[in-house]
Amino acid sequence: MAGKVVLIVDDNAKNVKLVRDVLEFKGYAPLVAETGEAAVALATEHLPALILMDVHLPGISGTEATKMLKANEATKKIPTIALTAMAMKGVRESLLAEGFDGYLSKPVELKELLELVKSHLG
Amino acid sequence: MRSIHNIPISRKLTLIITLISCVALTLNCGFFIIYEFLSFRKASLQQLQTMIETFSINNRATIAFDDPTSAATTFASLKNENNTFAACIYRTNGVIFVTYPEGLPKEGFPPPAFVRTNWFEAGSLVLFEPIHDDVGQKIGSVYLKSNLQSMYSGLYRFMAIALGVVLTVSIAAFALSAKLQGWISQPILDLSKLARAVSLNKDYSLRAVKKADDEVGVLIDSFNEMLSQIQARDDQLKAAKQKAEEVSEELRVSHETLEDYNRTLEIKVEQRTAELAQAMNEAQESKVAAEQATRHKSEFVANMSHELRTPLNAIIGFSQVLLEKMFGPLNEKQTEYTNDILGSGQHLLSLINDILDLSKVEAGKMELEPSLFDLRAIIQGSLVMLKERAANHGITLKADIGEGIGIVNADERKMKQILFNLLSNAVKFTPDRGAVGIRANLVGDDIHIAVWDTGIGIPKSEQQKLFKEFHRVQSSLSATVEGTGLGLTLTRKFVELHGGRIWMESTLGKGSVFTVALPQKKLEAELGTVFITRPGESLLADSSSEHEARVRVLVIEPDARAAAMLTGHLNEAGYSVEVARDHEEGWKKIQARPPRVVVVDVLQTEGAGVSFLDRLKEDPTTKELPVIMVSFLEGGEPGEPLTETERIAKLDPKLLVEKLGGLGLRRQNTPVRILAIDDDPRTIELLAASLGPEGFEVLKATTGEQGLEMAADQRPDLIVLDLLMPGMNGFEVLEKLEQGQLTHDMPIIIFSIKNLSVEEKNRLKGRIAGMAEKGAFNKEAFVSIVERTLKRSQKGII
Repeated sequence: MAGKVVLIVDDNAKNVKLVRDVLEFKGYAPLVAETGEAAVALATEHLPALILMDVHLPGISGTEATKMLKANEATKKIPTIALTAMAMKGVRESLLAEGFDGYLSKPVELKELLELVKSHLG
Repeated sequence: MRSIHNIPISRKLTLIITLISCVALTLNCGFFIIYEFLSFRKASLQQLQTMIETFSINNRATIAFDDPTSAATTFASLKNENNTFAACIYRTNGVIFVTYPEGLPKEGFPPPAFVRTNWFEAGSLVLFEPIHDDVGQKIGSVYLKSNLQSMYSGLYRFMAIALGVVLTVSIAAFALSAKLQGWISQPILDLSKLARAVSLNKDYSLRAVKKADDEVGVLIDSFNEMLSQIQARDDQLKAAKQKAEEVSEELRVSHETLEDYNRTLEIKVEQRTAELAQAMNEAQESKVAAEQATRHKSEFVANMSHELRTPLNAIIGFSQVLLEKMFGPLNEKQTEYTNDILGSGQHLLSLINDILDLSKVEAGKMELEPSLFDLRAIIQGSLVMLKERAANHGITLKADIGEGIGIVNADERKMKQILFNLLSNAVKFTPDRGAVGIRANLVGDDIHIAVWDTGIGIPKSEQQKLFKEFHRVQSSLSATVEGTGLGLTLTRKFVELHGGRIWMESTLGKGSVFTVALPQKKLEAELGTVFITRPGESLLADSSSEHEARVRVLVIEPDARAAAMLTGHLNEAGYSVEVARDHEEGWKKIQARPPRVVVVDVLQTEGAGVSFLDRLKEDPTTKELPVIMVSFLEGGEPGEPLTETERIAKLDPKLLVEKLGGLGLRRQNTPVRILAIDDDPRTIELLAASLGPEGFEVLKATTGEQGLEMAADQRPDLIVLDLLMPGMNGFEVLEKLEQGQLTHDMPIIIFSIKNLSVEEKNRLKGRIAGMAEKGAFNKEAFVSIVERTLKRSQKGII
């Protein structure tokens, strides 16, 4: 069966591999973008069911990419989860305020990630 | 006219002596003159009497014989006399018989007298002498008148002599007195002169020379004595004056010295001030430098933390994937190693987290985010977290929570971390089948939380270093236990942030006790709200009118302590609370006066609870009544591990409040309106997103000017104000709001990132209801500030 498409946006190859392999194992169809620009292009083209977006990216940031997606009628409904290694106080609130629909801190607990994905995709 | 009193004494004396001499002599002479006069008169009378008697006898015959010629001869003797005479002889018939001098007209004679008589008249003596015959018959009378010329001339002579004597004596007296008066007057004059000299020259050393021992001598003595005294006084005065001058001079000198000193002091003060200013500048610079360094350090730590987390993500993630056996099974060794990789990764992660926290504490960026929570629940929760690990080692967990431990106002997350750190240490260093426990109670004004264990203990030599960074106790057990060496350091910092203390006691081989003391009073003062509430206390004491305006909640809870805790929370959140001890009482209360919500403790209603709920659902009047089921953890008895009551989510009072808010009860009436003034639309959205679900209506203004306008037009119940805005800034808005008739009493909460200076804080002091920092935004904390502010401002939550 063709799983639901999940767009993974991260510039760190190992992290991409980890999330991609786990999602594939769980039967989703991962799609990878290494930059914010690529993420916007891929999301617009494929309209994934969920986006896992790293905040720190070369070029435009994950936040900016998300804003662009949220500004686009076609992509604005796609739930976008922020993944970040920032552990400072208030990060969660500010990310939610910037338009993200959820937040996970790195290092990601696999169980937590899967539960979150499951809760958005069923 | 010159008064006699003013003439000199010497003249006076001369005059007096002369006058007295003259008067005495004149009186003397006068007496003698009168005496002489009288003697003359007497002598003249006797002489003339003799003369007239002779005439009388000699003329007896002449008359008898009527012989006037003979009669005339009898008077011839009168011619030899010095005096001039007139004489006559009368017959008895009064006819003049003969006259003397002869031929003198008879008319010039007085009428005759025929008795012996005499008298003086006009410088003359007049005599009459009768003439008797032999038988004694009166035959005539003789008249004789003498002009007393000789007597008067004698008298005049005498008087002239007397006058001469008086004059002579007077001159002599004058001359003598003029000479002799000096004897008396000279000493007086000398004295007077001396007195004048003394008074003129102020020379009190002069002395009068005493010449005699008389009264003047006494006077001179007294005068000299007086002079001596005056001189002595004068000397004293002079001495005193000199002394006064000396003192005054000294004063002047010391004044000058003082002025000099003052000048020196001023200069010194200026110098010191300059030095101080410089020192302060330097201190400021080093402070800035230190702050910068600290900022750099914490930025570095934050960055490092970020950089470390990224590879850890892969390490931890892939280990988990392997252990999940997603891509095939692992053999025993592989599983063990993968577990080691995962454990080390997680250890590294906790290390990074602790370092991040520590760096925040040290940069002063770690701030308390106080909120009200139930300490009892946190303690029990922390035990639950360790339950599994403890169970793996057969370690018994015990809890002993005293009366009075309930709701506190503190930083919940940090409090959890404190308890978790201490408990996990205790579990780590306790051998299998030991015991670890927590004991909490009130000691005076402090809350004491003691975490104890029956572990390996800590040697005395290690106890001092225990709270230092990266210090780990060396022991056989510790070698097998992983740790960051930062846990206790952080724990102590967190405790200190709360104004508390932490200390430990330990016996090697027996165990350790770590005690945290939190000052309830101090926290109250610093956090500005009630720190702890004992059952049945103040939070229940709300005025009834306030109750009327609030949403009524019925809490069915038999445990008085739990009921009080709930009541406290709900009151704080603006609800009015009624408590029923059991279902029956609850039912009656619902019937008497239906509340808007019922909160039921599930544990207490087990079995019976279901029928109670059925009863509510079946009755048409209570069918729609919202019911929230809650559960309290049983307070673990000592020795008894935590129970399985968690099958129903344990009650978090905040969650309950949130749930109640979610029921939308508050929105039934006019919603509370909050005006957010901020130039950053995202901040406004954040506020709207936070406050909207709580039932508040958020009005939005993006400039100070717009905010002022809206405050006056819309009359919000509360204003959330940013300080840093282009155009009119928050301080100005605050001032304008205060001046406005409609806006001066609106409660204001400052929401800003600005680090306020002392001056700015003072400007705000007393004018704002609360403050929240943007960087540390925490929705619950913010909502709680808003609600507390509204409650205070009496506009209330409907």
